[in-house]
Amino acid sequence: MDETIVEVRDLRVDFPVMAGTIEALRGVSFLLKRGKTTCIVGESGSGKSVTARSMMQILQKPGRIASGSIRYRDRDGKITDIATQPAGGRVMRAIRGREIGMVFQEPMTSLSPVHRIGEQIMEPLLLHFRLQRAEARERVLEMMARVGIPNPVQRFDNYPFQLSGGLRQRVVIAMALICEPRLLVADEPTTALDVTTQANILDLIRELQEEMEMSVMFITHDLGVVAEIADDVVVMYAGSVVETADVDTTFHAPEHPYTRALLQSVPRLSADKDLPLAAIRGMVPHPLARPRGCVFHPRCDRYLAGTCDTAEPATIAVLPEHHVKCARVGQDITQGR
Amino acid sequence: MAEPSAATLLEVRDLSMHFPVTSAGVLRRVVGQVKAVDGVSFCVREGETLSVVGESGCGKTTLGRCIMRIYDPTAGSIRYRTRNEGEVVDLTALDGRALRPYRRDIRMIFQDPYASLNPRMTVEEIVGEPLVLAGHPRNKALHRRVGDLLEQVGLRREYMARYPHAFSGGERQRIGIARALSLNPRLLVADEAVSALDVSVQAQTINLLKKLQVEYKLTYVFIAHDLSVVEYISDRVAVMYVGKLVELAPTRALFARPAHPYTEALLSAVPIPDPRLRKKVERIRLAGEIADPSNVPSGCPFHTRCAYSDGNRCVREVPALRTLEDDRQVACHYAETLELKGAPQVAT
Amino acid sequence: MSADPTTAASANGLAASEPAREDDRTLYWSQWSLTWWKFKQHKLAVVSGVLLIVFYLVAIFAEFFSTTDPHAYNSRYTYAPPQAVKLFQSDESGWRWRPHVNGYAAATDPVTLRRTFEIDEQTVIPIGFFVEGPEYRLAGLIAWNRYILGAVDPSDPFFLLGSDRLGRDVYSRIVHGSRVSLSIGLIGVVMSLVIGITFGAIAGFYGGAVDSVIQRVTEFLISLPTIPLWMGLAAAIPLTWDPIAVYFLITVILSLLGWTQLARQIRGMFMSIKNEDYVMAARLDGSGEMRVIFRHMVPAFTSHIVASVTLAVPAMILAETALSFLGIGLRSPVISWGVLLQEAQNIRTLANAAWLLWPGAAVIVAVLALNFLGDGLRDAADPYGSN
Repeated sequence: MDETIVEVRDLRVDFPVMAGTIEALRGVSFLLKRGKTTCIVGESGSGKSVTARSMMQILQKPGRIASGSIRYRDRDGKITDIATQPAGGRVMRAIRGREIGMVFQEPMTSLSPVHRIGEQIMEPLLLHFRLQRAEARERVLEMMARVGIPNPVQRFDNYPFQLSGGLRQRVVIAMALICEPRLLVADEPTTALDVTTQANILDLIRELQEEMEMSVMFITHDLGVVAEIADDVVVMYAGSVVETADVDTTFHAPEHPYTRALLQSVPRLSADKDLPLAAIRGMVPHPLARPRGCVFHPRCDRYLAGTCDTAEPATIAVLPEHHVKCARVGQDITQGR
Repeated sequence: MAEPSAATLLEVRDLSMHFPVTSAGVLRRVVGQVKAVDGVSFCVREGETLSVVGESGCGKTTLGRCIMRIYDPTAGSIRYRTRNEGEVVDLTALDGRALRPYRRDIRMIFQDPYASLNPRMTVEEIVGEPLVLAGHPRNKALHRRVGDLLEQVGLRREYMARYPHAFSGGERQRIGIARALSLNPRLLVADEAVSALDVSVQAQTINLLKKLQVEYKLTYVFIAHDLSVVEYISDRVAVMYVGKLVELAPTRALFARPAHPYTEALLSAVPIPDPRLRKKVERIRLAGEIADPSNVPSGCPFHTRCAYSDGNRCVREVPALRTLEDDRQVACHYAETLELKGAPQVAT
Repeated sequence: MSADPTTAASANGLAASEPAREDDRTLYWSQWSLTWWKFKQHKLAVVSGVLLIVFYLVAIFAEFFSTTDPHAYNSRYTYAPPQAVKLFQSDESGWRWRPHVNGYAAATDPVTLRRTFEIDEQTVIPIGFFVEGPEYRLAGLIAWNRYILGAVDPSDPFFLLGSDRLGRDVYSRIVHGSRVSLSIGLIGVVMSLVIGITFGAIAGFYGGAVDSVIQRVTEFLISLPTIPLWMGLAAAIPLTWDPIAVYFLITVILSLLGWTQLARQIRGMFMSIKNEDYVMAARLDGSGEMRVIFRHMVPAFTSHIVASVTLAVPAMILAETALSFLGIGLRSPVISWGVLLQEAQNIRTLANAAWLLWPGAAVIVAVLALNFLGDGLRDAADPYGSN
């Protein structure tokens, strides 16, 4: 059994707005394993970014964690519940950057335009360790080389605007990894990049993960990226986790109708072009007007009146590490198919 | 699917769009040129979908905007075969009023479904605007026509009294498509029309575009970066790199056996939605970044990143776009001798 | 309560999703309805808006809302302190509804020989609503003689906020001063707006060399130090001129210098909206230049202009006050808040007749209210913006 580094259990996040409360996360549970990559995949409005931000206690206003726990196990085996820590508190400041590093979608928003990139990468080092500047600089240069920034010594004094998008994202990754965190939270880190650059960044994250024995929580909407990088997959829809499984099961033996439909709606290279794509009908529901019962039932092929539209389905374990939140799958199992 | 012999609807010949780089300050002297599109030639055949692919900064959006005459190309011609039998006009030679009839034939679908609809107009006004400007009286017939158009793109007729804020991204993109369809166009230029949409909504939109193509005998120029979508939707694919066309080929042939090393690298970088192929597929990784279009490398613009560069001819001599057998064009000195790998096959 | 039509864009990551309910009437709201809806959420701005409506009504009908003629002086009551309004009077039969103020008892300071006033609890000056007083022309047009509040006998002293050096009623003077002070802001801003929109639109729409020239002129004007320039221009106004002409010239001076910021904002809006996809789409639909500008571009920033204008008015008010306070703007007998404050310029006033500073309070309230209103309008102008 793999060692668990983070256990998220029944996490609920609310955004109170004028017209009511948006339940961004409605009881989200999953595990992150030591040294593994877990992909959180979902469409817009699924809550995947909110999940990532909750891990760091950096929810945007007016969002707040309503209930649930995010139990983080640190190097010494001590368990901290991030969900109950104040956002600006000493514990979170010690965790951010040191224990958990984060990479965002748009590198320019996480870089200061007026500071040299070397200084920016150095910042978390100086914050978390008592290092001499010269020593810190050495480590920054080493890290820059490691994330594939050419000519680190010259680049050290560059400003972000002097770099291309791909290099900026490497700087942000260097910043996230400089303190050798045990968990990297990456929120759509390659979405803004070109496909060739994306391939390089995915390689980089994979290599660094193996080298540093780090866990990665990778947020994406791109199933191709998931297939490339994930060990485990958490599929989210409208604020709920609908299915968790290892990557092979997710792609080859998915149980939840949403996961199945999502996989079929992706155009694949060398698929039959004369057939229409298997699109999911309808739209993602408005967060203030989610349907009763299973949130996916109005778009679902296996929708059963009286079952799916009345009660929220329970999450059941199809296999020990394969969880599905679907009433129909539950029925299939009890009927011993 | 278009036959190779299908009539040419639009012919782009030696098209260039060079933007001047001006110095800061009052005098604004021209200090350089950004060669966003540089000597591009290709044909668009009636009824086909021609996709233009490439990384950001390759000039594909500029190319689309030149065809739409949003930009005035600095050189070259765009020859359009009109509805009148045998008549061919050069769109780059026309301006203002003379261009208007062809603007009705060639319409655009925008990338951002949020920015491309005026938030202060109702859907009826947005979709009806091109009709009104084309001289359609504001009457019951217009109202009916807008309603029909909305139903064509899969929206309810009653939605026309609403404002764009009441719609999701996918629905807005449908409104944009209805606007493009309103004047019975022949050619649609779709600039990243589905890339801002969620996967499930993207599939709906692609299906809609394919359905409309059949119904209205439309021709598409589909500008995109997502190669899986391109492979699904297009008959032929044009690959651009730093303002130049490097390869143009029928989709199946291009994906199975690319003739240009850049196409090979692009195909190789596409993530495949099958974890079982992860270890099996050998990937080509491009070093460095796309070249700067204001400072294009000498010779073949791709030689700085190309694994097959000979370091001599590739550096000195710009490869011309040559026609190979079976309807393919490529701009590489070694297209005939290189054995390049196609896209990895996915079991379906 | 209807669903918040802006929430779709409000919480990050929840952006692209289906609107709340099919029958939701917000789905049919226009931009203006949304703006108004958003504005109403900004309570402070709504309160300020109501307050400003009251202010401007008072300014228009200043004659009616004052208690007496603001120019009438009374040498018997110079520097008389404010009187507290009492609504009930006690006599042998108990408390009785009878609004009144107490009169003054004059005394002479034996040391300084200065006359001081004490409130005399014995004298009762009955006051009432809609009392008759000296005749006036309401808003300069309609002859009338009623005052909203006043002494029943117009010859009795009634100084709600005290009297000044010449025994004139400070309250009535503030009320009349609002007319000049509040209108100079509006007129000045309208003039700035016309100049600013013209130049801003030309610069933003055509760009290039035209833009460069206009930009340099704007920068030059912004770089000029305002106070000395005002002083120079104001000093050039001949002393013999009619006060109305001076008022008009001061407005022109203020707006000639005040258009630059507006022009810059409008230029910026034109620049950014010019490249919006929907403006490009309008061109491709076959719209002409004028139609693109007036149907697609201008509506996109009218609400922003309204907000900018609201925020520019207080600057004008403060400029007038500052000029008049320095003695180079308006001068007596014109009444403005600045002119009134100028009269409160010495230490003696501060020490002995602090009530002469009341016009300052009027300035503060008006300027704050305009700023809050402007803030509310600015937030509402972009109903899709983040909260």
